[in-house]
Amino acid sequence: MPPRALEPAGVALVDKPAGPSSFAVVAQIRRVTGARTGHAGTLDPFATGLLLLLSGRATTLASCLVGLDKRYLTDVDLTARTSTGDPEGEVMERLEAPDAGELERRLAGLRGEIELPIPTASAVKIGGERAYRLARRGVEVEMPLRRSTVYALDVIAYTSGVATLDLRVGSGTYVRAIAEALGGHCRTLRRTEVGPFSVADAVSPEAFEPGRLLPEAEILRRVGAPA
Amino acid sequence: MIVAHRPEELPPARRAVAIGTFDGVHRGHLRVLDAARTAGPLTAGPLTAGPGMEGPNLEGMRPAVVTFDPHPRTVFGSDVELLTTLERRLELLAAAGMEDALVLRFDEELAALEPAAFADRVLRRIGAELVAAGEGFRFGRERAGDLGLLEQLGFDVHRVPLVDNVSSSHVRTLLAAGEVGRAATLLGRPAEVEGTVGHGDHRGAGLGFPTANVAVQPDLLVPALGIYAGAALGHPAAISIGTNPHYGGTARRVEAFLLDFEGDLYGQRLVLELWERLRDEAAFESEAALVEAIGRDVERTRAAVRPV
Repeated sequence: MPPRALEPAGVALVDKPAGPSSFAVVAQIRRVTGARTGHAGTLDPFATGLLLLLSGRATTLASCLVGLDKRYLTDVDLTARTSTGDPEGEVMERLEAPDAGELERRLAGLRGEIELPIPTASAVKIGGERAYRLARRGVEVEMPLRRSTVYALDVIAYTSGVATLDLRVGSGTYVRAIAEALGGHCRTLRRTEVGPFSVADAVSPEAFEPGRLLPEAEILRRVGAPA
Repeated sequence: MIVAHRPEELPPARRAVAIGTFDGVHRGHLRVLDAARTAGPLTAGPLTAGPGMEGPNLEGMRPAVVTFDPHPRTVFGSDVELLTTLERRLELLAAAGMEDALVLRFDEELAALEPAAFADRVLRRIGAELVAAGEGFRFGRERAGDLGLLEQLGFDVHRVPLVDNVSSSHVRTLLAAGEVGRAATLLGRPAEVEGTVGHGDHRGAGLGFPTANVAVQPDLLVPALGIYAGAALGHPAAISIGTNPHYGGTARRVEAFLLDFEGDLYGQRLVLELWERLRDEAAFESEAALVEAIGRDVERTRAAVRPV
């Protein structure tokens, strides 16, 4: 069997469904192309939306794509906190949802340059041990803060204690951390944009075909990098 | 196992690569090596079911290891007492099923390589498609490269979690305390000390216990002083690590009396297995008392059981 090919080269915009890991989607695309396949940032299994998958020679573009800003649509359930900040954790606390005015006050503190604790369920290490393992053992840990930039944070809808939010954030921002800071958890999370790329132009993993790959030159032009 | 020192020395092939320093080749390391040797499908889950998802190795990847010498921490200025010589490390890596080994000279130049350049010039160059490593593995300039980066670049990545409490440094601590039994549990095989047989004081032969005087390279860890039961060359061996206080010695010696062995070992490389620490070394009232004590050590050595 020949080595994994450098062709076809290009970037696939794929709309990940909820359930599979990002790597399962990588494997699925690779089965179609036979090329080596990388990515420009993953999504948690429960999340949906835009994945940039890099095929063949375009895997070298990872470094200029991973730092792009992101846009997300999320339903934040303000009636409960979970152990992970997402629907996969256990409910830790039931809460009374705030009224619209209180929600807006909480949101106001989350715009711009902010520092948020990294979610306990993340893979970051505390004292040499994974935070999620400590959390699973019931060890209370003070999570380190991470500086994030929230360019925009708008309420699309707010009913029955669930706020639908549209966020534009810098790379490395944990949306789960924002949901936790609001006093709830992410019930759904959908990535709608990565830099200049939109999920509107993405296809499902099943519908992907090599003809959908965006050429490297176009990618570089759209992110404004020198070719 | 093919041993190469530069990527281009390995024949072209698609490879499943285990990467790490692997000093001691302990049970945690074996998990990483096994991941490369028996690499299965990329991920489980609904999207991976169905035909065409055989493990990558069923497509014919060669299990290979990329390792570093000298130990990277020595280049960053720390003293590291090694558990294994490079020669022994490579023997153990071959025994773990690796078909190729790339031994990279670890120096400031390699440490300063951009992570993506390391991936390109080393891993791509040897046809790596799958990379297995401990989850804490870092590489490249400012240790900025990790397994996540390799995934972005299109490698299949197997992240191997740490085995509880199994680390080369934990093994070092146990050996420095003479706890060879507990070290064996972590290593998955008996603790060892290795060296070349040289000329000693030729005192043992006169006492009826001719010993091989084993010269150990200075960067290798030698366990706590004392008398050990163990084995070498398939023979039970009573091993003394110490200064021969009975004779007022001060320099540390490693000496082995191989039971039921006749022959000349001078100049040979000897790997001594240390199974059990029998006692502290001691000065005796008389040579007769020393001989009697050695006799008891030899009997206990004959009865000793190989750990793990």
